Amino acid sequence: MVLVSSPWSVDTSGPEPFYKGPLIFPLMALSLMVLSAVPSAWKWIRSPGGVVWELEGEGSPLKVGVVYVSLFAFLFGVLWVGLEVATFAFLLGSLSFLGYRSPWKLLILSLAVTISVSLIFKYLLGVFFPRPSIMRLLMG
Amino acid sequence: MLDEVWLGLQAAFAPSNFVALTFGSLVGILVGIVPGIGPMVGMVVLLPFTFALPPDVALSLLLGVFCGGYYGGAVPAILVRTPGVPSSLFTSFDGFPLTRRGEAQLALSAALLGSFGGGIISVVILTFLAPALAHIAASFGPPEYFSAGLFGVVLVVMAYRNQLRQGVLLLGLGFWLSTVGIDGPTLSPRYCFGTLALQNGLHIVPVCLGLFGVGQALILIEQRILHTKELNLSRGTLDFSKLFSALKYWKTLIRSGIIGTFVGLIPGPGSILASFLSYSAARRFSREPDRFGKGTPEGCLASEAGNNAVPAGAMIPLLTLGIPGDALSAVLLGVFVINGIYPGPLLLVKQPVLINTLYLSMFLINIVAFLMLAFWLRPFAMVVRVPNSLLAVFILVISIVGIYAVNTRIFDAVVALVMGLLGYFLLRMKWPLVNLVMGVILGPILENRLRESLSLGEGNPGIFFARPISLGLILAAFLVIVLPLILDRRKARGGREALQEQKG
Repeated sequence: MVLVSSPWSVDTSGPEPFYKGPLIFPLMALSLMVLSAVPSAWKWIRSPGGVVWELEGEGSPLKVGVVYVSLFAFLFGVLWVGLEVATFAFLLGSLSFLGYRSPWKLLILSLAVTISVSLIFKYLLGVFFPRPSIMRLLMG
Repeated sequence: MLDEVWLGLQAAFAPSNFVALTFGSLVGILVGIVPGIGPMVGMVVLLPFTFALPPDVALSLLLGVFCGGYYGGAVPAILVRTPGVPSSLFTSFDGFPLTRRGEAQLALSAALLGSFGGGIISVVILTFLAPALAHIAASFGPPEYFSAGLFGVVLVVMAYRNQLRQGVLLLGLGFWLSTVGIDGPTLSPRYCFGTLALQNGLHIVPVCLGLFGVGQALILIEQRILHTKELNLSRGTLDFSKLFSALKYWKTLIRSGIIGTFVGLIPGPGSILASFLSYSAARRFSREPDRFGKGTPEGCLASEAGNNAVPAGAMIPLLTLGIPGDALSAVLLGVFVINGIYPGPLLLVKQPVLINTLYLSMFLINIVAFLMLAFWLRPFAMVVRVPNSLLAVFILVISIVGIYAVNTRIFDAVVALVMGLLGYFLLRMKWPLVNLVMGVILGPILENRLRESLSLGEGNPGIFFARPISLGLILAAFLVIVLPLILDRRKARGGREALQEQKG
């Protein structure tokens, strides 16, 4: 689809001939992808019982799914409640979900990592983090 | 010349550089020791931090992780028969039997000596070979660079020839991802779909960190904790008397270091082949070949010298041609490019101080990593016991905050998360993720060279065949594709005939 729609997804209005233009390389890359996918697609079409899609590996992807979704919550949490609160909540939540039951261990580990992250990024590297939305909401 | 070496020496021993390479080596050893992480994850997690550093210091930090990872990989291979990095598999063949006989210190001494010797030998070869290759590469024009890049890409793809379709698909995807954003020469937007954020393109850092850092961390969540009681070392530090007894294999050490360097020089095969070839050669030339696989320090030494020589070997095509030999050196290429430094033959002429600093830093990294492991052997070995899920959650936090920190853009972190999911599925399906990273990093280089070459030839692709070096490289790439396929087919036919003869 991307290959077919490429002439419309790439601005080719410039005066350059095709070989100097911005479309030649993406077309080559996408053709490479399509060509490598042809044998598998052919097998899929020809197979009478269809093709079984499966993931190799151990364990259920449920745990990974939950942690992955909570990563998005963590990321937007940084904007809404601030780096420290979001990091602490993410660590506490994901570690307890992954089987860490001892409350002291959980608290100490989460707190230690939160303090380290805050010290490294905010104070050592001087990275700018926006004022949390909740603070703006509460304090105006 | 001597002035440049002196300036390089000063820069290498400067406190900031020394701290960076020491910290890099420490992280490298740690990620090398923990099975399932490896130096790539360590490098991509530290990648966002390199933006605040000068290029030489940033490169020393990442080179420390690159080399340190191979040092660390031998420890769990010897103590618990679980290689920290895949190339330490051959170390476990002899290391673990020695541990079971109560000679863990001898195995660790041989492995550490091998790592140190292999690392130093390869840096010496790099120092002499890089200028010679750069001299040849100085006559290269855009067509030669394109053909050299193409040759490198073909070698990488053919290194995974049992997954050829997947490899080509991922390479194509990498090339395509590298085209997203504003096209440099024409300023035309490509695949931005009207989004302002996509006009800057997909930055190398979130893509690499997502694929390897986030993807591998998600895989770690699924893996079980390594429960072991076999971490009984006779002492907390390395037994230096055993180090001297391993020194009698000095010929094996030199041979393995040379093999490892030259394997590292070729794009594609990487440290596993280096380790395998060094181990095989050591067994062939050994006075006691029967002891291999049953527990001989010579096996540990050969395997580790081979894989530790790879980083410096991989630096040779990177520095002279701008072509990375593997995913790890591709990340280093990313650091060069981010800092506005374009590796190639002119780099050695234009940036002699940086190059000398790099060589000397690699020497220092080998010394620092060796001393760290030798003196803190027990604490490092205990790292094997840290639960994987704990490490995974920490890697995820550092990765996401680190990605945001690079450009203070939430969009980059979202890209890393999307790439992380892709990386997770690809790692789980055991697809060659390296090809995707190579595609993303080599894509812009190949595209520019292709367009420059076609402009030179006024649109005629015959320019690639009209120049002898370019033609030679294209023919070499063709042979790399065709020869293994013919050999595989011949082998399969031979197998079928043998089966028919047996039946007959």
